[in-house]
Amino acid sequence: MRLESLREQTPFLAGLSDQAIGLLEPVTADAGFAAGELIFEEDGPADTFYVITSGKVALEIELPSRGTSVVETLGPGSLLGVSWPFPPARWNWRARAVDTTSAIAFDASAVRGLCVANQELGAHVYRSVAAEAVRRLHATRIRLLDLYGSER
Amino acid sequence: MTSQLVVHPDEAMLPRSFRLVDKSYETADTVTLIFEDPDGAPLAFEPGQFMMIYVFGVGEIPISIAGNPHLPHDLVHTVRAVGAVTDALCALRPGDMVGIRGPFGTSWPLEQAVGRDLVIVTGGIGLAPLRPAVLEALNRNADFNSIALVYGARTPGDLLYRDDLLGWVSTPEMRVEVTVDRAGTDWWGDVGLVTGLIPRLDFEPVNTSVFVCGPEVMMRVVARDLRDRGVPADHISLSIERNMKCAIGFCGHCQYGSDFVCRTGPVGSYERFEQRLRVSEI
Repeated sequence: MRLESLREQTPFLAGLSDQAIGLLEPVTADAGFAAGELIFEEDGPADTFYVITSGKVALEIELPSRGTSVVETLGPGSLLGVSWPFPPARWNWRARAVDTTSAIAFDASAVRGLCVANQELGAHVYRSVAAEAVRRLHATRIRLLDLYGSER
Repeated sequence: MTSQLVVHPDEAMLPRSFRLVDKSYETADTVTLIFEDPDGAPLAFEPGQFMMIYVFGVGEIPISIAGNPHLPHDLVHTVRAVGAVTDALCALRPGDMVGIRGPFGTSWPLEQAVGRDLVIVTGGIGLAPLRPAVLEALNRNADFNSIALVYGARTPGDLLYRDDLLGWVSTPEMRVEVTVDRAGTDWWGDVGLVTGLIPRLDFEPVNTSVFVCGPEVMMRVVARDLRDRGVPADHISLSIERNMKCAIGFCGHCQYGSDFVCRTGPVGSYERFEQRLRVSEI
């Protein structure tokens, strides 16, 4: 039971009932990425999302004439991918492993289907993804203030 | 340490001459300056206190002490060039003289943190006022259950005290987490807000002391997250920056609500400052 052991330290899974964990378990798989390995590409289909169990993943974007910029890094316990529940289910950023990284991969299409079929699971999953999106939005807004910049 | 640091009011307004003996660039606009008394007299201070530094013919400003409390012959300040006096400070060359008054103000409550987990959260140039506390905490690490430093900066190029950071990252006595607001792919650390690193730390909230220094909005969100995690408000200490002029509570330039920051600050408890942190006019 790969999900059971992760439930306490993973916000996405915390609070899920045993029954809900049992529903999700069959649509997951272990995943591993070498340092530097591409996990998903900007504009690619959001067909697999992840919960990181070790290592670090960078969300990147390619800036013409400025190279690659990292906008956020995610570590153990983090949900990698928040666009998959919502149409058009497409990634907005590129994800790349910074270090050797292990994760649990979720079949996004299957999870969407389970959320429709099981209201309790659906409510939990969408609430968890929304909470993570809100947390990232808040952090991004604070960073937009450029607080560490010097003012004259 | 406190008793020897009290500055007599009659002497508090009289600057002493100090000589710049070393200058190093932290970033393009930030330097660390080391001054010493020409007669070799030590200047004892407590972590978190500040000095008034007078650049002759330009002006006087408050600057936090960034040095090691156990090296009282070196008066260390880290200064970012953001105005006339800081520009002049950053332009000083070894051998140049300045006037100094102090030390002034309150200090980080390290004694209250004894036996607890100690979490130090800082952003930008806020690491400078906390550097003496970090050095002191490491010096007496056995007094604390654990020590953690969380440091945020704008970019990897804006990180202060790189040599210190490299040493701190490798020391088993302190957990160090560093994040920046943006970076290229050559950056080894994290990218994101400092609050995103706090869940990684292993501490017992009710038995934790937290020191926070950085932009006030950052201190607000850090304190709020820590309160949500169960850290008592009176276990969280902040350093408030205001326009100190006389530094002895006479002139009122640094008034912050009911406080004169030069006397009752700069370090104080979140419990005391919490409401004022949301008021833009003070």
